Amino acid sequence: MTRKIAISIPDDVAARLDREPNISAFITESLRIRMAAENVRNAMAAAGFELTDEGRARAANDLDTLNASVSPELRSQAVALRARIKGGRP
Amino acid sequence: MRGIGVVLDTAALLAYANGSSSIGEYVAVLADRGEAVLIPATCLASAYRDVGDDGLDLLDLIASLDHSMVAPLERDHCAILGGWARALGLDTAQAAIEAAAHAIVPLMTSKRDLVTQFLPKEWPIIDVRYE
Repeated sequence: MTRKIAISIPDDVAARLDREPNISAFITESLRIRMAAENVRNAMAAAGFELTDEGRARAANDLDTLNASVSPELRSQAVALRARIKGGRP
Repeated sequence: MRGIGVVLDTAALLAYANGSSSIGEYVAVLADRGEAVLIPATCLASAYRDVGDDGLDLLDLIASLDHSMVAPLERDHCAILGGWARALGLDTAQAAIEAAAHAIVPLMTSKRDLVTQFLPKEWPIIDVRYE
């Protein structure tokens, strides 16, 4: 089932949507990610975890720093390693 | 899903199952970003083997989250896996192979020194303190 809805959005958001060939699919995917994230937070809270904004900011920063530290040399090594794993021989 | 954000090895799962909020925070951040948490099946099984009764439900939970992917053993990986498992154990060996097989995915482990005998030294690793 689908529903057609009319919404008002800021100009910058509208400009971003203008670049999408399928706006409905784009909005649906974005909202599903947000819904899934809400489900995770609710499930974690129900299980007794006390997640804080500071803790999440720290985790986000750690992940961003790690991903930004990947050098071209490491990328080359990773490509070779992936081929070795796929080849199935040590 | 927008790719895999992290691989959790047994130590990470056990830290989480013993109430580590910091692991939960990584999991929540990746959910915000629409990225998956990859859990190697052997790590999940090892965590179930080692966890106390209080942590069983938490392992059920993390494995069932929408953005969690439990990765089975793959035939193509078995030869390398067996070799790496001599030093790493089967579970951490699978975690390292999954991190390498899905491009450069950060690995959450307590065995950095051992893992970097097989992955490049600069591999993105999040150290977990859990014994």
